[in-house]
Amino acid sequence: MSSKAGFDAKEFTDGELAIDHLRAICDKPDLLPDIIFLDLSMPVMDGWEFLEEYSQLQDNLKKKISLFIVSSSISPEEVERSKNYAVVTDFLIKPLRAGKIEELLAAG
Amino acid sequence: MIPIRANTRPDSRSSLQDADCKPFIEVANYIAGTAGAFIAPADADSPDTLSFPIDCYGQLCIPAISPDSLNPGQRKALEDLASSLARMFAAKKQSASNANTASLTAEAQEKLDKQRAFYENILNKLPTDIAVFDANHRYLFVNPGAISNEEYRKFIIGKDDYEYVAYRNRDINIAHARRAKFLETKNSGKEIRWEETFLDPSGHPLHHLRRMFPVYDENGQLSMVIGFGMEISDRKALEEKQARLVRQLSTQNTQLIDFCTIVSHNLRAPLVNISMLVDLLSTSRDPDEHLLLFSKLRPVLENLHSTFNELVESIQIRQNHEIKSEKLSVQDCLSRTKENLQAEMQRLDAEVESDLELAPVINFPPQYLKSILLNLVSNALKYHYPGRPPRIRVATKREKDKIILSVTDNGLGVDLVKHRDNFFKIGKVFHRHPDAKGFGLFMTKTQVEAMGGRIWAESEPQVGTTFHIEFVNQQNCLS
Repeated sequence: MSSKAGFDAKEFTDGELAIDHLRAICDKPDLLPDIIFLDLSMPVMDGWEFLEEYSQLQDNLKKKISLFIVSSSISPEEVERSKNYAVVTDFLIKPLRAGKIEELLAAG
Repeated sequence: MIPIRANTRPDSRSSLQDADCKPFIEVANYIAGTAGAFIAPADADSPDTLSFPIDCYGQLCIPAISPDSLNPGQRKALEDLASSLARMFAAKKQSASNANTASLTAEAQEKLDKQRAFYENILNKLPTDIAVFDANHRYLFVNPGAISNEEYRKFIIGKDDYEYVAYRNRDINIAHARRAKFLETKNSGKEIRWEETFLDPSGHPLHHLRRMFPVYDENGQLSMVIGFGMEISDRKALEEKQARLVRQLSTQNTQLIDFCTIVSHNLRAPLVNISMLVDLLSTSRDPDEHLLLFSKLRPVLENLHSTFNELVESIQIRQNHEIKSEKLSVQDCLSRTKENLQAEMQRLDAEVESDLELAPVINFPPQYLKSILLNLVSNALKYHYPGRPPRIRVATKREKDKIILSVTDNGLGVDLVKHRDNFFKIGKVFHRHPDAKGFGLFMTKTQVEAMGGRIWAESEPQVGTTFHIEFVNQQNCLS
């Protein structure tokens, strides 16, 4: 359905798989994504750990990437905590509607 | 007439009329050749008398006689007589005053005794124990509250704790401890307080609040140290009850916060995922997309279902105050666990060894111990290190009235520096395993804590993990 909407998406089941992938392609702008949607609750490496690693990796990324936390968490502490990371564009609370994603893509 | 003044004051006129004076009066009359000699107080001033001073009492008076009518021999004899009289009076006065003093002292003594009895009665009846020491820590006083046996109470006066401990054949450390407290008071010059617990003859713990303070004389020298103690077992019991309640409340509060987090996160997450998927399903017209979205619904629903069941079960465990502990053979429970996991153990070539001799029996609800062992052993199998046959060791040991059960594996291990806070939380998963749901440890922890125990872990990535569980109130399993 993503391809039908005119874009391509890659999915990773945990933070470690995602960060490994990003490290491998960090100097290839045409392979790097425009947007990252990050879940917080994941096995092995959760969203917060991913943010730590990603913050260090960011300078080596040959592309400007928007990062949105997408979580079903409604905890204000987590929203506050996400503000400590400059790499985070916004904190989106699920449920997300298709329209919201299109809106973000248009803005990006 | 020559008045001879006495330079002393009579202090008891009545004694001048004493019969003891009579022979002196007669001798005076004989010497002077008259018949009216008398003894006058020192302040009497009669113009018609010849007076001879009597020290202390007054004058020996010879009336109606001129000084010239006495020859020097008579005069000398009368003067000697007066001074004898004075000596007699002086002696009498001394003995009178002695007698006086004696009677005064007796009176004062009686009063003092009464006072002393009054105060001692108070000190002896007070429901506290009192001991008074001199500056060298020797006993000056103890009340029956401190030492009830009269013989011992008498013995201790003038002695110190070392002599008393030797006399009563007690532990010398008692004397060491008391000396330390005494010196603390003496050296600091301040009141000190401490609490002491010992067992009464029937073996019940008695709690005492003890205080000791120095008393100084007018020169600033330490004159004595007063110590007293009050039994505070009731208060102590109340304090402990309160502390227990506070602990219980704070545990319950933590559980409540955890519960809210679980509801707001672990239940909300699958719910919003379902709602998003349904939302997409309702707008999509592509049959392939329908199938894809539909296939994503089932795992989310299953997750919601499991989370919900775990929650309900954990609430049941926490609220089940009726659950009964039994003495369980750990070996038997472990054997049943191994039977349940037999297929998986064979597949992985796993071995479970046990070392349960130090504490073979645990007092615990049977279904909980079964569930705990099953969880920990199946976790050890599930998170085995790839290509390394699982070696699992189950051991028990005693610690006072507690038993510690440990389950060690040689599996994947977990980075506890990163995951310490989340290790036992619901829905937390640390490995990419298809069956990893993050429920097992949460349930184990709930069961352990519901019975007052603790669970903790040590782990090293790629080396293995050890879980320790503390079972409390195991007195009846320790023999």
